[in-house]
Amino acid sequence: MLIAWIALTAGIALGIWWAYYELGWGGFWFWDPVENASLMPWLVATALLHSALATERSGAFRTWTLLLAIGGFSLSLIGTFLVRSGVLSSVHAFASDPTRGFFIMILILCAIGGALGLFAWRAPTLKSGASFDTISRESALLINNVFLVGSCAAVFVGTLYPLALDALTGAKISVGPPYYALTFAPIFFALLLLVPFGPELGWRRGNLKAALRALAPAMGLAGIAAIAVLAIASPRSLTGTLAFAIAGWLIGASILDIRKRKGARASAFAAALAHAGLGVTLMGVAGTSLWRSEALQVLGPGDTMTVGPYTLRFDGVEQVQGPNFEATQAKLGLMQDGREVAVLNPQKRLYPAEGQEVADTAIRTTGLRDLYLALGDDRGHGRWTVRAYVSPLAPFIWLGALVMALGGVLSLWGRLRVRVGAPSPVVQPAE
Amino acid sequence: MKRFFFLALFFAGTLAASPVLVAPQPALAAPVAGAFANPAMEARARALQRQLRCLVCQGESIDESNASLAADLRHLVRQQMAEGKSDAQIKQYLVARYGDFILMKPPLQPDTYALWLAPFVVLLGAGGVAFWAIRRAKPADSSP
Repeated sequence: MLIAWIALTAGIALGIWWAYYELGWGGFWFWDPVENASLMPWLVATALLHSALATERSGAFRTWTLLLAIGGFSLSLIGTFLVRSGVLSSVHAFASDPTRGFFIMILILCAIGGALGLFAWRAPTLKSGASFDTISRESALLINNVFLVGSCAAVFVGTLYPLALDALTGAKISVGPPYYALTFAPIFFALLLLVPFGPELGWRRGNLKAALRALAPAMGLAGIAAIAVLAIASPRSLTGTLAFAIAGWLIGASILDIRKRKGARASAFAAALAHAGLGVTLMGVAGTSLWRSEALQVLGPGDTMTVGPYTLRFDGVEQVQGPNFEATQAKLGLMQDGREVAVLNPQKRLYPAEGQEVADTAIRTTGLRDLYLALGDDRGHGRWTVRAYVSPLAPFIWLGALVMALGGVLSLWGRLRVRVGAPSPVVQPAE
Repeated sequence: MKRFFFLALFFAGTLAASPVLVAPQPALAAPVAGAFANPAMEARARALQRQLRCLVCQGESIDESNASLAADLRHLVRQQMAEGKSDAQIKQYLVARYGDFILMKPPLQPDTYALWLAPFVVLLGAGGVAFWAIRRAKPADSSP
């Protein structure tokens, strides 16, 4: 189960990176059905990961954990169906084929029906019996699940509602980013605010006041992050300030957690690392979404364009032969104080075998900021359109996902070692 | 009662913070023939274009799309803006012509109530179940 979660986290990060690199739009997430199809299982798998912690520890929420496992698996299957059957159109849709869609649908119905049937038959025999206080780690994990399931519902409904409505009434609507801004986002933000409390509360009985006291330095860091953003960033943005405050809150709490566990086994740091990764990704998303500068110009040889702090000189295009593609490659010099400090080569590749034209962007990163170039259309007379973006903190998005996945790996490693040493007496959750 | 007030406050706060997850992607229209000289008008045009879905590529707004239909629609939007029409009027015109599909943000109307409410119904439902589970799990010896 943990392995699946690590793979999914890394897979989504790679997918985002691909979209960013290849599609030439400068964006990384479009609330596209295929992206949603990967996000839904991730949300449920993340919920499962947390509820399984409680199940493993004290046998609490056994039936619920099982249901989440079934749900996560079903959503992966549904995702496969959505992506590969041609039901949906998407920028990521490859290898769609209606006959395969039918086969996958049968497979899904069998798997989900079978799993739910078994669940209904056997679940009543699983007794929960665990007892815990209202303020406790168990409660915190349950609340985590509530928000993850809620945010997953937003993605699920947003993805499938237009299909269902079209099938039932023939009315065609489309669900775009503004829908998710008003449904998924507030639910997920609420979750992020609550994350640091979980690890601070004890099993069975926690102390909210003590947790708040322990987390005070994290709140300080959140405040500092907010002030720093207000001071540095332009244009000022309430949303961005709040996002960085939350990121500071998450990362600060993780640092506190790591300090508290100094000297413990490596796997004890898994949660802190994963939660910190969440904060890092949040900073990347906020930075890229809110403070991206853009420029689009038609450039002839020798022309310059400026984007953010950079100045670029266009030096024409040339044809390049790749192993299985032909590319039009532009040459752009990155200028600093009148000197050329680097050459960037965005390409437009034509794969004759498939007749597909694909943009291959040129990205130069400082680790804190990406300069992103995509080559546009031929405007004749050696003039081309060039798109340029400067995306602050974009690398943080993948970095954060990597840190999250690393948290998963740590936890896995700890678990394997424990299991080899002494098998855990508690019944393991399904999967 | 106080608890509910805090809960409401908490949600209002997260709602205010939320656009960051889906902030408008300031992508580019095709090199702008007919860009407005007035920056405020231009910004309005770009904002409006981002709210309209390209009917050809479907994954993108007409602001980002390179399809020729998107270029036509951009032209149409700008033309109507120049005629002094409001955003709402322009959207209304496009919906009448192309249907609700063109709107990135689905309208709130009887056949989309379920769409807009479902996430929060699920959230409340799950919250209710969790509340019940937490109360049930309370050890007998602890006072409330």
